[in-house]
Amino acid sequence: MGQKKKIDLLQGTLDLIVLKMLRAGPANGWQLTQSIQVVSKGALDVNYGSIYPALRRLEGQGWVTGRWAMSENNRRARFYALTAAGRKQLATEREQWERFSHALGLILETD
Amino acid sequence: MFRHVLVRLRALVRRDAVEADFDEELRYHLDREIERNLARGLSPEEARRAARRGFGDLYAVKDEARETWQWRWVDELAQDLRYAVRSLVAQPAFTAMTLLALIVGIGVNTSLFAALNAVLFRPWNVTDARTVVRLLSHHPRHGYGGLPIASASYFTEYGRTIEVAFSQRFYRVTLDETITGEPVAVALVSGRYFDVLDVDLIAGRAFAGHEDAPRAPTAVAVMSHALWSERYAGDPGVVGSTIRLDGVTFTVIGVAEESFLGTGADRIDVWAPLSAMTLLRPTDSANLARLTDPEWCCYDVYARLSPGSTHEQVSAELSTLFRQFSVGAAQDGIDVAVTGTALVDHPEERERAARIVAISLAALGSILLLACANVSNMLLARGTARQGEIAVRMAMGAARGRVIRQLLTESLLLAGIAGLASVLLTPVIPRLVMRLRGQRVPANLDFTPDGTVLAYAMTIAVFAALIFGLAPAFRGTRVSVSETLKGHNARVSGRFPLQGVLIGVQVAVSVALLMTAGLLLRGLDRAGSLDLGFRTDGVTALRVQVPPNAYDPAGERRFFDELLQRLEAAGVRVGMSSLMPLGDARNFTDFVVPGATPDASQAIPVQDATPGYFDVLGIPVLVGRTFRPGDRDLGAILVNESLARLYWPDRSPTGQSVIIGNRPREVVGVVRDAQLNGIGSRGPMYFSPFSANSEGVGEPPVILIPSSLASSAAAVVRAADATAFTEAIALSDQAHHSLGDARGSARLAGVLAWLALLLATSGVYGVISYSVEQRRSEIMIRVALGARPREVVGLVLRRNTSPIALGIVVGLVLSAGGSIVLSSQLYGLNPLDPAALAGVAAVLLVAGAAASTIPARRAVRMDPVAALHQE
Repeated sequence: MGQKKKIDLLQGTLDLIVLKMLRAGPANGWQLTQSIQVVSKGALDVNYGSIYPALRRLEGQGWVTGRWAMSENNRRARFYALTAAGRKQLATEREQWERFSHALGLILETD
Repeated sequence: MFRHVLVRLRALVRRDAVEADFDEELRYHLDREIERNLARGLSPEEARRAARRGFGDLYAVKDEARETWQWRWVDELAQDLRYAVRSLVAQPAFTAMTLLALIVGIGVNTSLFAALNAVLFRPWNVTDARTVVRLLSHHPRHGYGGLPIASASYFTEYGRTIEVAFSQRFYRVTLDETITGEPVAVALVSGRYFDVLDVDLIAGRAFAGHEDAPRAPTAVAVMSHALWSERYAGDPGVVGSTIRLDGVTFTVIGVAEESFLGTGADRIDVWAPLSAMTLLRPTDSANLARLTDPEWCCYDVYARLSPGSTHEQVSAELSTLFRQFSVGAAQDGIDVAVTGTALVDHPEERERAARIVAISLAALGSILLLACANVSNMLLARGTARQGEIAVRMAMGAARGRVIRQLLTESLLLAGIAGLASVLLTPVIPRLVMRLRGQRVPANLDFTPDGTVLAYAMTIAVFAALIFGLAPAFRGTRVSVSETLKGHNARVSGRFPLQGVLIGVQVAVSVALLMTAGLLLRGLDRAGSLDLGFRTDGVTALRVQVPPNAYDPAGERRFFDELLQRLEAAGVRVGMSSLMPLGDARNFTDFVVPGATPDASQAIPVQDATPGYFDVLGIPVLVGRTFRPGDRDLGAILVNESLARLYWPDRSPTGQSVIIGNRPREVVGVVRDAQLNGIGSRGPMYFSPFSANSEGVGEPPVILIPSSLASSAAAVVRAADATAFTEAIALSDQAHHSLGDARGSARLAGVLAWLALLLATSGVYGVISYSVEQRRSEIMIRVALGARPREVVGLVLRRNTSPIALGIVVGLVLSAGGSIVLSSQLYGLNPLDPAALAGVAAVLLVAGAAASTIPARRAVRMDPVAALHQE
């Protein structure tokens, strides 16, 4: 399609992305997909559908809570919010990710 | 974590709702995308397609989401259960056999537990039964006992941790009829009894408080529903009418509700106030003291707790109160102990019951073990038959763990069905057992299974399923897929000799049970031929009962003295006592020998006797003299050898003085030991001069007389008092009867042991014949290569005898342990009884040999070529 090649999502990073997005405040699934698009400048190849099982999984872990509310276009949508445990989890995952990318960077820099 | 479970649980219960919820969420997303695409100027068709494309695979998304809220194993369990049901239905013979073995194994254990539950744990059948308790005195040295009747009203008045304390006392009396009629059960109870226990009356009223005043008793009675409908055909007019209890007139004031059978083991027919004791037994001068004296022990006292008070609080408060109330309690440091109500609520009796239960549990547990070994073996055999099916499943990608789980589900299903059947059997089996033991089933013994019994049955069912199912499941899935599918009966021989172990366990358990039962039966034989130290053959006991209230205590004593004189005047040597030899009743008194060791007072069995008693029973006087007239006033006693040895090991007891009940007594002679208090009852006892009705309660005196003279003696009794009622019992029958309990236990053990032998024999036969079948090709090859058939059969036989022999040895060790526990029932029999052992070993060895020989012979006789072709 002549576009810049998109990056495949690394295993497990979708959870981190969703948690980070929810840090800014509650959102529904569709809003999250829009934000990911905007923030990553369209560079990530995310099937929008896969965000929904991820949200349910995070809900099951107790890191987010979901409840039905009216969206900005006056329709029922499921809104997710970060819990305290989710906040802690985000910090952990973020730190892990940073350690990982730092280590990867060191490896790639050595010649 | 909790939330995690909650989400899944909600999904489990309302799966459709959860899925609809998820669908709506996805629809919202797609709609918003389509709207956005339309806004960007795409056609409706293109807008929809783009939204779908960006979304990815809708079904994959749904599946992925579903995994987060589903317990996959629930689905798999349902699948396994369906599969298990199908395979059990497909093999009805196998299913029936395993179920039978399991129902026997689990059923006997559940029934024992149900009996235990009914006797020890089930409280009285009254409203809010947990707040009704039994109160007991606890003496630092003598243990638990009853309390004075009078303490109940003191506790009621001053106790804050209890609402009301109350007492009850049971009598058997005649109702409106003569002494020969069937007696009815009367309970004399504290005035507020019906109110405290919240028992409704279907007619009339309960007792009023003032009707229980010890000094102003009222002759009023409440009738049971059963008696009311049996004798009075449910006539409401009975309230206000009068009945005669032992000839004393009482006014019926009410009828209790149907479900209330009283608070003892047996059904109660009539209730009257405790103070009516003085009306019912007018000649007994001790009644007023019994009702009011703080030192007059020992009766059954109960209490209803105040809301919120604990047993500990009640015990602490009432102990203090009791020591204020009773001088004796303060002196001896007696506490008040609190226990729940149950059919057996006395701590020492509960302990004794628990010991019996422990022995029975060991026996019945081994029956369950045997059943498990049996079923395990059947599963193992079937596992081989199913190797093909299992190999196919595993070849098609089923993980071994999954197949094991599926096989275990089958075991659990079998055990679960057996467990449920066992629960349904619990109302039947304990009754059957009690009847087999020759016991009467008390009315208030309720064997109906409750939640506790169900939980128990299911728990042991699950354990049983693991015991019998685990090994065959692992063994059965250890198959070589390719070999089996190629048509080879690829038996994978494990390093662990499972079949040998199964044989060994079955043999060991049945040897232990059979040995123990054999010992009990032989112990019984021995007890029947034991020298009891007194004559039972040719001696008859006459129980002479005069109508209640016909004599005052002095008059009754006079009557029996005169009766004795009349009988002896007729030239007959007779003995009299208040206690029946080998009877149930027993008297103990505190026995103190000043200056002697042991220095503390001891409770020693006592009984009264006339001089003729020792002659008729053939008990020789070894030292000193026997009783003679006037000894009663002198305070003379006779001691037996054991008592003499205990206190005066190195000198003559005659002329020694002792203190019994604060009164000095003098030892005038020593008699030989005799087991008068029951077979096996050895040890110290002493005799006091005969005194009819010395205790004011208890059974009528017995006259012991040579059997040939029994009928003429009965005539003499009739001549003395035409209304007296005489019952003749041969002492040899009494001896036989007193073994009844032991006889019942032995019979029960015998039934169990035969059950065990049956299970073990069929089990051993099954395991061995199955293992021989498996070696058929090996056997045939040996024969084809020229081995002599006889040698081959011998080889198979030898291979199977070692686990049987090992099992016999282990079983012997177990039964030796059992015989130590049961030693009191063995009457001195050597636990290692070679005759019993030889019999048991022979039966099992023959079963094993038959199981090895028959299939081996069959294999040997087959045409090897044809058979190998068939493979």
